[in-house]
Amino acid sequence: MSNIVTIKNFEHLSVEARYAYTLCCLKKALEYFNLQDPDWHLVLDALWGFFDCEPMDDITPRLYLFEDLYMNRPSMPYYRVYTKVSPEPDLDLDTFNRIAKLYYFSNDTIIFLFYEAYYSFIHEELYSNRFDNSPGTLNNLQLFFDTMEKHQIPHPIVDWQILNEHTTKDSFHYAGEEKDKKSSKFLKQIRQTFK
Amino acid sequence: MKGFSFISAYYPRIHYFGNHLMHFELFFKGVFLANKVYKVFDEELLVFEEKFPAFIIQKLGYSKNVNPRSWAMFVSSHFNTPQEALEYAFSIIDEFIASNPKHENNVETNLAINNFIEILVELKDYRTHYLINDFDDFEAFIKGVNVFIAQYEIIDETFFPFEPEFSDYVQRLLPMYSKSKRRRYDIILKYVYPSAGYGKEAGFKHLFRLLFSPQQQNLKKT
Repeated sequence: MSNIVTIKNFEHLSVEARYAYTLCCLKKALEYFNLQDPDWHLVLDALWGFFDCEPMDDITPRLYLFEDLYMNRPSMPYYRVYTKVSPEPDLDLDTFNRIAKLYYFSNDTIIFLFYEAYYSFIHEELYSNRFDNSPGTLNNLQLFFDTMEKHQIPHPIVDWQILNEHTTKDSFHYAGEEKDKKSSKFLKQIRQTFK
Repeated sequence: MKGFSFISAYYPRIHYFGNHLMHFELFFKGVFLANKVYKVFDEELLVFEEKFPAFIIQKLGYSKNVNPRSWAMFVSSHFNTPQEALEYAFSIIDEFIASNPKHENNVETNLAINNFIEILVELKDYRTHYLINDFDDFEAFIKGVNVFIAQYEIIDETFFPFEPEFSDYVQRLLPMYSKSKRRRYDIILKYVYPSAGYGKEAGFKHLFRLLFSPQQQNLKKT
């Protein structure tokens, strides 16, 4: 594997592998800026912590929250966000303040990468394109690479041997397609779990 | 920060993901893979990865908020045949009842079972093309669901509404073309649904219910 990682390295890889590399890039960026913090998981909670409504009805205010945090950093106008987001029991003020603090002490690059990795990559492309190995995710990955290059963030050193085992052929199975032995392995695993 | 735990620290909140199962699945598969390729090998994540398939299905199987279609898509991506999926459903419900004896024959258990039935109907609908074009598999699936229904004694008139007109229509048409897989498929798609006034999904649900209805079982016996 050449030291230079380009989008071509991922054309044959599954969407899971692309996403795994995206997460590695995010982790590398956090290390590079020395911005690692366990509280980052709160962002995920805030973004994905919905359940009681129809998906798109409910995700919209969450998206507003995330975009507001992204667009308005570092001023962090809590009150403005709260006027947009209807009160939700799982997002208390303390949690929100911790997220706000996290954003405040972060930087635009990290916030952007978080947005791309945790929202855009997963949600926008997969919703419509996963059935065709999500070609759009290559664009998301390219965006990641461009951002890293712009800020001179080095690529993560990953185990390409493992990554290359996850090709587009393994990515997803659909109705009517012949499946490989992974399904049986999966079922076996389930049975063992329930024993 | 411990490995990728900062990413996965919230997984006890897994039930929130019911409506976005595919994204959730991808997210965690990405996390698991990242854990390995970045050589972090977070022990907590490695353990969770092993339990992940059972965990997600067990959690989501009993969530009244789960989106059956998402569930079906997830399940259909992991099983070779509908029978495997049914075995899966059996094992989960058995395990659930075994671990929660007080739930036997109560509302919560019935809800879980009904959820699974809905999921199976969705699963079948999702795989309609595959099943209808492979008649043996379709038969196997129907037999499997019949076993499922018998095992849990699900004889609920509200769940299996018997609609004479629709029933009559299907019964008259299907035997005529049962030897032709392709024709059978065409009939269901082009004639049965519209004639019965249903969309594809609803139509198939009704067809499915018709095939499992106690009345239909009696007809078969006679």
